[in-house]
Amino acid sequence: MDCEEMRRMLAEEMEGWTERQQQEVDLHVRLCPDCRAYMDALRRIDGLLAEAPLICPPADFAERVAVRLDGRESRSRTWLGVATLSAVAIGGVAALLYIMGNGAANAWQNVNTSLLCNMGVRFLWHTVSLLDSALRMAYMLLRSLSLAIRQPQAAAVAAVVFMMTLLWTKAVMRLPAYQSRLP
Amino acid sequence: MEHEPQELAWITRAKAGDREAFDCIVRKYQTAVYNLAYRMTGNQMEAEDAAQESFVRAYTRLNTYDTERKFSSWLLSIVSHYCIDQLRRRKYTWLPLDELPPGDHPAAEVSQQPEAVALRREKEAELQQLLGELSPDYRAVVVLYYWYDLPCREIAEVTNTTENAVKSRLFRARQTMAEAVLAKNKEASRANPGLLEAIG
Repeated sequence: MDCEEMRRMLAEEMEGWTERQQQEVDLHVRLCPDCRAYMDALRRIDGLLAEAPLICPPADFAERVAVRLDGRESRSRTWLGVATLSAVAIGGVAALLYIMGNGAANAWQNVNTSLLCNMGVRFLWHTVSLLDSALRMAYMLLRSLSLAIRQPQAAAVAAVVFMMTLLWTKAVMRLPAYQSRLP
Repeated sequence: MEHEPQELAWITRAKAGDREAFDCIVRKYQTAVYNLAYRMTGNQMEAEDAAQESFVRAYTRLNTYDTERKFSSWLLSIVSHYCIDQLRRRKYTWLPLDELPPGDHPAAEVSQQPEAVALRREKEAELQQLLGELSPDYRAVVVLYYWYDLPCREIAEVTNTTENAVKSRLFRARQTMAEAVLAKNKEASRANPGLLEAIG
């Protein structure tokens, strides 16, 4: 057996050798100082690994895990709240724009067809729809405020969404194209 | 797979969202989890972070736990995979030679002579240096084999590989560490040429 094979055999040994293998190893390492040094190195490693103690965690480890779990649950609740709020806000804005756009388009159509009475009824209906949307937005705002007390991050996101909604609505209403189509 | 009845009850309750039951699981396995994380990462802060994160992941994935499997294997699998991922993300994979935190010292150390304490710390540092020579996959196998006395079949389950791959990794890990010891000895004898002769 050459040195390479011997070293392979030494490194592979985990649960002891047969008597014959042991004799072979003993004979080889007695005559080969390099392989003896290799075997000693492996024995040192086994010794170090066997002697090394189990490392204990800090005394309050379980409490720290509990705190981390609390944080994770609270964060996931926050994001769920933010996602719901954003979805509601976006839905509200979309509905508002749709109603306003529809109202203007219908009004324009009605002017074209000179059905002024019909237009009046439709306009009234769309005004009621607008009021409905405004009420929904107010309700949303109240929910945001209630959430803001508990979750400041959610409040910040809600405030941004609300401001953007306001600016968007204002910008759309100032458009000459929109203004000119109003009855 | 046979579970202790109490452990199975904790798992069932924790699956239903009972945090107290999960706390019992944490207390039971905290040493095993922390020790694996410490041996993998090589320093106290990272080990604590990895151990905590592993428990959090275990809690959030409890529904995926199959009671046919051994719970400790499932939990250690989460820890080893998390640590391997973290180590791969590190720019350098060497292990810092961390001072052992005060809580880590065995109680016997208090009564030990300073020389014995110094020797133990020296050995600990050498061991961490040797583990640092190994890639994260190999390190996980070595730690599970030597500290947890797990059979190769169970290590294969924990590390999500085959029994033969575990044996091969153990063999290569021993080779790598032996070569590191030899290189260190050679360096020491070059630095102190008379020392070995004086000892010899």
